[in-house]
Amino acid sequence: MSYRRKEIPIVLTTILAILVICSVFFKVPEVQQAASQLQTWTANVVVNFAVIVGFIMVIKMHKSRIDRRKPGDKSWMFSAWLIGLLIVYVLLGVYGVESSRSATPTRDPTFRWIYDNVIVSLDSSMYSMLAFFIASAAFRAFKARTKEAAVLLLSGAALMLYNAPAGSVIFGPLAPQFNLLGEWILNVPNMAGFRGIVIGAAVGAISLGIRVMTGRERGYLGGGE
Amino acid sequence: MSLWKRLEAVDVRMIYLVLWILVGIPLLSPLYLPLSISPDTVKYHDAVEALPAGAVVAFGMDVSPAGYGGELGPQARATATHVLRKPVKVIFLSFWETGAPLIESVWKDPFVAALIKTKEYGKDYVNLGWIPGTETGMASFATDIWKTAEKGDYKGTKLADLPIMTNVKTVDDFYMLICIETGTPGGPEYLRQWQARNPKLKMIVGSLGVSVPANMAYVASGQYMSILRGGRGATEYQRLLNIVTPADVQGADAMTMSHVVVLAFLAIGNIAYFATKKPKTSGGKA
Repeated sequence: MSYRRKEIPIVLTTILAILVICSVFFKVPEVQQAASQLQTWTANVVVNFAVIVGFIMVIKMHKSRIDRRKPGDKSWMFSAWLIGLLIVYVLLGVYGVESSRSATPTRDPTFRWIYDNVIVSLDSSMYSMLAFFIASAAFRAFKARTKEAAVLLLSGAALMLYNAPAGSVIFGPLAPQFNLLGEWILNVPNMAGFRGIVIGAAVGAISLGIRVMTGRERGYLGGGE
Repeated sequence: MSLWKRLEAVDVRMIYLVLWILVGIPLLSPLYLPLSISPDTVKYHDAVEALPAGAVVAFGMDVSPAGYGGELGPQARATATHVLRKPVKVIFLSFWETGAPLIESVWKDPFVAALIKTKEYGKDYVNLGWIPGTETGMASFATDIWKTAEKGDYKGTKLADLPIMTNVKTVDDFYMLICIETGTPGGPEYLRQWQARNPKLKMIVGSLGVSVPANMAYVASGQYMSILRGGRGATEYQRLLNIVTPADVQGADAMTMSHVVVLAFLAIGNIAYFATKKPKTSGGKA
């Protein structure tokens, strides 16, 4: 049982990973076709199963919140609301695909109306509220208490003046000269930092891949260890 | 209590109110605040302008509704207007399930809608809708478009029935990729899966303001021909194309005002902090 649960998935993962890696480095048509087919399956089949698993998990998690509700605590209602809307929207989507005879439910007027007038509006509103939190944080928390904080504060302000149109409003005709500072921060220290992060992440991904292929990293198999 | 101490202890609701009023003014009446055009926006414009006749352009709407609302929507609409003015073939698609419906929203823009009327769907432009699988989907699409988009376009029309797709089998057949991106998958994933396979693929990116610093490394390396920097980039591009509407000016002015308010609060907060700071309390935690 243990053999089947651990070794078989590791062997399968390793073989398939080597296949995809080989398709990048060697121009062998058979290998490239096999890798392409594998990626198509992953994109079209695995993702669809992931949606089903996600749907079930969300319902399970929120159902348990409703089951464990305590007297006086009304937060369970949000979970009930979420489950209700999730089911309604999925049903509308299925109906939308059928009624519009197309590949996507967004061609159904009802589904589309909800998307345009509820989802887009609410999502945009949530994002817009960041402006209020940033304004509050700028005033109350973003203080030059130490040298490091002062450097962060000044670079942040310079970049904001460079990236946002505010620089042109505040500095008027002198804005292009001031922009040089923002440009320097963006193109020298920022880029050096980000390149380090990107290269570090790539090296980390390669080492993680090697650990997965050699069976040292087993977290993706589940079951604790 | 001194003025600075009172300022330090100001109710957070007052900050919200000031911001709300100052952002509200341009939304009621546009102020037409000044704006200089950045070199990145000019390069982005020139890249689209230089598209040769008949080139196949992939238009990735990899956006969330949140990003679309203020920054990426104006970018996408301006870019679509510009690209549809050119005699090229445009393939709209999205690797974000939330981005696919927004392709049709872009088409409803008056400038885009006017151009679309002069084009033929399936021959000059097409909407492949949502391509599932995030980065794996991108990899699959790169090597075999027809198999990955087996379901057809967003209406369910098979690719075989769309003349625009006849000679488009892999990303090697694309001349340019325009990526309007909220996050992952976005520009860097396209670089790994598409441009790594087709190094000739020209790429321009429309990005949220917060993602600009992360993307600048790819602009400097030449992998992105250029980048539109958030809402500012969108407004600059609209002005270059001469497609600015009063609503766009209102949005850009409101955004400028919000940045001015944040900067003002930053300055006042720090002045108040130093004015009320006791002489011996140097150091501390940030």
